[in-house]
Amino acid sequence: METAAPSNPRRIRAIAPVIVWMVLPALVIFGAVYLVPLAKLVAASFFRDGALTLSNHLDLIGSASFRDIVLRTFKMAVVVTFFTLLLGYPAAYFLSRLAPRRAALLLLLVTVPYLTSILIRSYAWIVLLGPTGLINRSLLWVGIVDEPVRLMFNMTGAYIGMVQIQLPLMIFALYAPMQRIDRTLLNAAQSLGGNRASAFFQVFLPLSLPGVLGGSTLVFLSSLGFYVTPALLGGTGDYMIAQAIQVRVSNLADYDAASAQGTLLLLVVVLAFVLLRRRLTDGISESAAPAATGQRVGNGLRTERMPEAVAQRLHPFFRALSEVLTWLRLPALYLAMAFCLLYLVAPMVVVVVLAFSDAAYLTFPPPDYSLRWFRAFFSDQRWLSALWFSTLCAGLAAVLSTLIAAPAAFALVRRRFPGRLTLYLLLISPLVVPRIIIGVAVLFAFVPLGISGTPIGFILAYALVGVPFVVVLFVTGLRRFDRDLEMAAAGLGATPARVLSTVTLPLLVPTIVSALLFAFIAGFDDVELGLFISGPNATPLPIRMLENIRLEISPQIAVVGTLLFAALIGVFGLHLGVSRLRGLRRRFAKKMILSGTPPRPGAERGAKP
Amino acid sequence: MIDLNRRKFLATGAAAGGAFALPSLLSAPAIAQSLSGTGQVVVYDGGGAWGEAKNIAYFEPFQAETGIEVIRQPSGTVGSLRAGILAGQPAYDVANIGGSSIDGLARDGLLAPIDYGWFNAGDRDAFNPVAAGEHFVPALFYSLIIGYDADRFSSNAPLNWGDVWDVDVFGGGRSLATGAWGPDGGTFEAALLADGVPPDQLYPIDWDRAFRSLDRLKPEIIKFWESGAEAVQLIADRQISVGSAWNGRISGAQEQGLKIGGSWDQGILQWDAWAVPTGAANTENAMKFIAFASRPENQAVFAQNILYGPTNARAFDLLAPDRAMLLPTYPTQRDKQVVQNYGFWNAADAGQEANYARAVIEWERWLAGAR
Repeated sequence: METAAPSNPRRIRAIAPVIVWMVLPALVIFGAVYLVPLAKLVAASFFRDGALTLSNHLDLIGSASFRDIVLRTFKMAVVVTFFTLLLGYPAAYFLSRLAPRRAALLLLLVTVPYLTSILIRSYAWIVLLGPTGLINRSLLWVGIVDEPVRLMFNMTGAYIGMVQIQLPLMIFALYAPMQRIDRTLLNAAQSLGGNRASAFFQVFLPLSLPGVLGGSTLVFLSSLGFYVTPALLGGTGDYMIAQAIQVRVSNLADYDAASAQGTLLLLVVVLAFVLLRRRLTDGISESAAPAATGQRVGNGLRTERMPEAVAQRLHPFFRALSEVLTWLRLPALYLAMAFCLLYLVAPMVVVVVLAFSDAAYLTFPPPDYSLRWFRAFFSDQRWLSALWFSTLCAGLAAVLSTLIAAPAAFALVRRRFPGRLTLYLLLISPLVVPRIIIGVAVLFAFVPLGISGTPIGFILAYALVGVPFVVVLFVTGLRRFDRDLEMAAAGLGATPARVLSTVTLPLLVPTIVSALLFAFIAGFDDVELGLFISGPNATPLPIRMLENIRLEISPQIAVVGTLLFAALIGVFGLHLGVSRLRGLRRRFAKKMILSGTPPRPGAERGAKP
Repeated sequence: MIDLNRRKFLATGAAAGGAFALPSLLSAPAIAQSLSGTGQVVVYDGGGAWGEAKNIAYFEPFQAETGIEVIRQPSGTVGSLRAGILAGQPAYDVANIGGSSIDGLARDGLLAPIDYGWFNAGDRDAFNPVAAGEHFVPALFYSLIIGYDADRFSSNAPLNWGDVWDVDVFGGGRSLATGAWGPDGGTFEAALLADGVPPDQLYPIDWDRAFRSLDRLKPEIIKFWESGAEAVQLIADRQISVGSAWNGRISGAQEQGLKIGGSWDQGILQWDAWAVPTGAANTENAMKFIAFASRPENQAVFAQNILYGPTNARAFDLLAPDRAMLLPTYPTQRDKQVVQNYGFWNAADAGQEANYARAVIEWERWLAGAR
């Protein structure tokens, strides 16, 4: 590989200028709005009564309740990651087998959970899961149970809520790399005597592991920050570390205690990363990708050996499974996808019904229907300006975080330089550092700059929390990237810029779109940063919603969710229309032009799974 | 003179709106302070029915009378408020702060002294049962009371915390405020009152006894509520039959026709205050706003629109008895309740931890089974 580590050890310190330029924008913004203020906050937690001390941290480590909270939080994050993977993998597999345009439509639907505030969504879950809820009523009616099953206000409820909100992230992280796996390999495996299922286990599964790693990293780390969902849907003891930290910041205004806890949480995560660093540096390096050419298969397998070995050991089991799955494959896939969509969309259906309620409070089904809450929304300038403010700031922030994080991800994957793992950890750390602590830190950074309570401040802060999503999704996307296509273009005389614009970026479209989307959502859904940097002329939608639901939950916020859902359906329709038009044009164009651009990988793929 | 006329007009207007204008008020000192000014003032809103009641009683009339524009700023938390002041850019000119958080902020020099020069004569001394302080002016009273399913308990209703704990007589699930809020959820006081501690011996809180009492109720607790809205929603959805809830939430639900009952007996009376953060951009306008919101006639309009108690006791003279008796600080109601002792909650214990912070740590230990 041409970018491998220089052989001369003395040159290791000299990092190529091009790498510096790729990484610098991200580092500058991180340094200014995140690292420096955060470091001050963390430093403060090492002082007690003006003296340098470790006692704040040692007290915590010694406290049984803190260990209990940390353990519970990690356990919860592991379980959530497991279930999102279990549900998300078949769904992403299903989507990856569709024609990209059709998949895009379904992927759009997958983002539905992000359209509503957590509070209204949790009410929707109560409607569905409660003792007199739709699920229990159906179970009783069918006769599966004799009395209502407790599905909420216990860990089950918390998991149902948390897995739903993380599922879209997992599906997106899995989809982009899966979509680029060369299906001819599967055909090859089958032609060599394997059945469809064994071809899947031997070929597809190992090739999809970068997506599994990336998706699991994102889901696991962001699950550590859960507190509203377990607080609303969980039981009496489901108390998470993010909640303990939130209480210390919001109610006690004790930033030292909060940052001591945040520091320890971060430390545990960093420790885990360091222990796993071998796998992780492999994980962020470009493994010699698609096992298409003989030379590379050997290299490529190195990182995948472990699962393959496991697969070998489990061979008899897999064979039996393969036989079954070969027959059940299609129905099972359709069923898995349908279940995912139902799971993701069901609460939204309740929300839409609630939006048309005539009642002043939440009750399902509504006693009567009217448009009163829509009228109230559109006649209140404050709602409209908050909606506009959030859309604008989160949108620009998504672009900014993609612009700064994508080059850094390229550097991480394609270059070798000292401190790569550190850089990776730094860029994804905003996922682990509790959002509310970041809120305090950015406030202290922004006030001297005069940008607290301004759109600029919001764009920077939102970009910061969007970066981890962009980095992980790009690293995931680039790992399964077929460099041969780039080399071919370069070999044919294309300049690097032309290679980037005509080969690399078009191939990365699914990755770019998911990165923009999740960076957007990271800002658009944010409450904690908004609590700290809002101002008279800068109030985002979630803060407006929070104001509306603290004391009374009216159907008003269901309207916001419904409008966003309608916008999504609108985009859906538009997309459908445009792709139909494009299809017509392409058919026409094909007749006119004989030679074309290099075929898109997977273009020969069937449209049906 | 213009102010005097306006004042008279307001009093009459209030009377026409169903309130009483008693002679005691009309004979009050005649000169009202002119609060006219320019520019703007950023005020904590609060949202929902509370924000609307403030808008009707304070924001719009203040703007009309003084020419100062009121910017309604969504609520933050004590944590975001303190951070803003420390950073040098407070989120509000006029903050609304829970009584339990005032002392800490004032002690650290984060609140500007109130300029009582803008107050109408007599207003400052009319604050009761909590007096206006050097750095704060009480804004409203509310009470953490017993809420119950009025359909289920139509004849024999749970009246006090002892009844809430009595799961044999009053069946069904329970919910209390999360103890992670320290004093603000009133859960520790409720547990002690249920265990038979007389109201005048509540403080200092006996932590062991409070948690033993909570241990007894825990099996029946479906969940600890995390927002004022949730407390009532849990009853409305029949998830629980009895629990703690704020009086304003219960009366709000009743106004919407929900069958939810409330009992003032052993209610825990709490209050919020107006305060001006150090370094606020419009300090003078903020002082004027607080003076305006401390006038009894404006507080009466506020209490007409939401069932939170006025802090200037003279506002009661302007309210019709049938409205006044619904308020938490109406004399016969007030006597049934316990005023939460913020002095205790702000004091540090032997381990140098303020009691409100200790409550959170004890609560987390209890949840972890480590007590």
